[in-house]
Amino acid sequence: MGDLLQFLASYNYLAYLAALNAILALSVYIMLMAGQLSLASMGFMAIGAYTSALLMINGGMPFAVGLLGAAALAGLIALAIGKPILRLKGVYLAITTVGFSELIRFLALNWDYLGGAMGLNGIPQTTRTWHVFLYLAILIFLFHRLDRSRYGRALRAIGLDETAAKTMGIPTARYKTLAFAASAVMAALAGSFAAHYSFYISPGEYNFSQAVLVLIFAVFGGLGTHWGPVLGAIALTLLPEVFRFLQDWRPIIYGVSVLLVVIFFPGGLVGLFKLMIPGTRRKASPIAGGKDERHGTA
Amino acid sequence: MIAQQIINALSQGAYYALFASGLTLIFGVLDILNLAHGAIFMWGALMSWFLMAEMGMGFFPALAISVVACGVIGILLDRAAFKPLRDRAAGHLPPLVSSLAVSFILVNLAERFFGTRVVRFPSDAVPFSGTLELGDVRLPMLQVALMCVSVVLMFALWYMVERTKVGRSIRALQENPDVARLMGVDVERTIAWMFVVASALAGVAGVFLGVAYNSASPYMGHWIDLKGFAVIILGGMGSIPGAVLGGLLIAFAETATVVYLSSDYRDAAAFVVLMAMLLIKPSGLLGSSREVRA
Repeated sequence: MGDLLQFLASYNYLAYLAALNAILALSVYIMLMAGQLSLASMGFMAIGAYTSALLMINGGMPFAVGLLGAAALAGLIALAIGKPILRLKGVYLAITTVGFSELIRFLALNWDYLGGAMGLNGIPQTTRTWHVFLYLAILIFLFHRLDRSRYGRALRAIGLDETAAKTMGIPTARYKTLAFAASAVMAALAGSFAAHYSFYISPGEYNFSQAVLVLIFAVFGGLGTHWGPVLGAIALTLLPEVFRFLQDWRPIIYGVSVLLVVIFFPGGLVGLFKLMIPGTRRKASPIAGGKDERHGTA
Repeated sequence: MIAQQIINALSQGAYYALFASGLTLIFGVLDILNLAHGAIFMWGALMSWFLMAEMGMGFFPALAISVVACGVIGILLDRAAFKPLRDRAAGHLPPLVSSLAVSFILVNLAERFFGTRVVRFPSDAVPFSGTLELGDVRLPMLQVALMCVSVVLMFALWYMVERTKVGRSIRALQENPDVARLMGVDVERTIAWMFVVASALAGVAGVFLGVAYNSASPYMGHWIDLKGFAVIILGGMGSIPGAVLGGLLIAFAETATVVYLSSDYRDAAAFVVLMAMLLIKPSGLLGSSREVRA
């Protein structure tokens, strides 16, 4: 009986982690829809985690206010820095957003109010696993609506060819900034939920390696639809558990799986499924395939 | 005191330049960020440690073998992670992820072969252990050696790119790959050479950094990738003199931060300088303005 409870407890944690990673992957994905590679999610996740934790610990606020505060702060910061940062393209944007996340981490590391390197302890554990699932479900629904909306099509158009999109009258700068803010709010809420799930946060959790892992989830799953990042995050969170018998060799299997999917399946996992189920093949992803970026803009 | 700090910054800048010149070479031609560069750097350090500590080799044979091996890893990296994507013109996102996957694999293999602990180099195998005293400035010979090696290699690299046939092919590919191909440039051969050179330089940096700090571990490549990207953006993507200048600037910014503020802020210095740069002149100090703005 004890073993069974322990099994269920660890399974519960795994399900929570998969859902959380799926949310983070979606926050990277909304920027990728517009063809923008932003790795700022870790920074916004940290902002969300610290904001809601401090609002509850020091401000004595209820959990809901903590969540709102986290989302609002992250969204405002994103709107403020979005315009200058999003003038940059491709890898320049990627590295600048990494720099942003790193600066947030340094701030948390060196500001005593935020607990410094020791992190924050004693965060009220108010997150239930179903909160995270509900949040993910709402996001999937919103992405479903986005796909068929004017705004979603505009993002796709920017992703395909920004200059052409601009020529067609799409206010590219404003749309990109809005997508950046949406991505920030998504990541910040994920950070809050994670902080209140685990009782303790430290700056080390929000590092560069985590940021690129989230990007891997999205690309591994496929960038054609929002199911790709969700599926990729779930698959790669569960993969190490499935290959537990390989023990120390697990990271190699992880690396090899990612390599094989990226090399051989341009559509990611979702593309792979579509190949296996006849009749579901649709247009290729506008982000992952096709155009050589080098000649895109000058 | 100030002179000592300047020397420290110069030798730190020499590491950054060695490491980043390979990154910038690859970026200049292929427009990709190679996230496995740090893993190759780490392999250089650990392999030289293995040859010296476990096989009883001297510093120079160990350096030579490690650097050649890094060059070979570079070719394998290109074949596994970049060439298949290049063949289908996959854009810049998939190569980022595939090189990261290779980096996972390289780090894990290093854990298997060399263990996960931080290793120390045998003191008798390392040359240049003395210090040079100039007035009140103390110069560890190893720092001097590194700076000399770095200057020589940067000149060799510059010579290769500007004066040799391979270099001409590399510059042609930077300019326009399709036209270069039509003009008879053997694209795949040139790219293979470029990966050999870039990875060998990362190997040199790894060996010297490992010996200088007397430590190496499978995880030492993590932070330097990030620093390397900051360096090449600051200097201008694809520019080798830019990598040297960027490396020196970041090293000086970090040293100044440590001296005048606090060592806590050292790692933030690179990004503050970088972001300021990007907002003022996004193409970097010595870069062309290609592809930066819409």
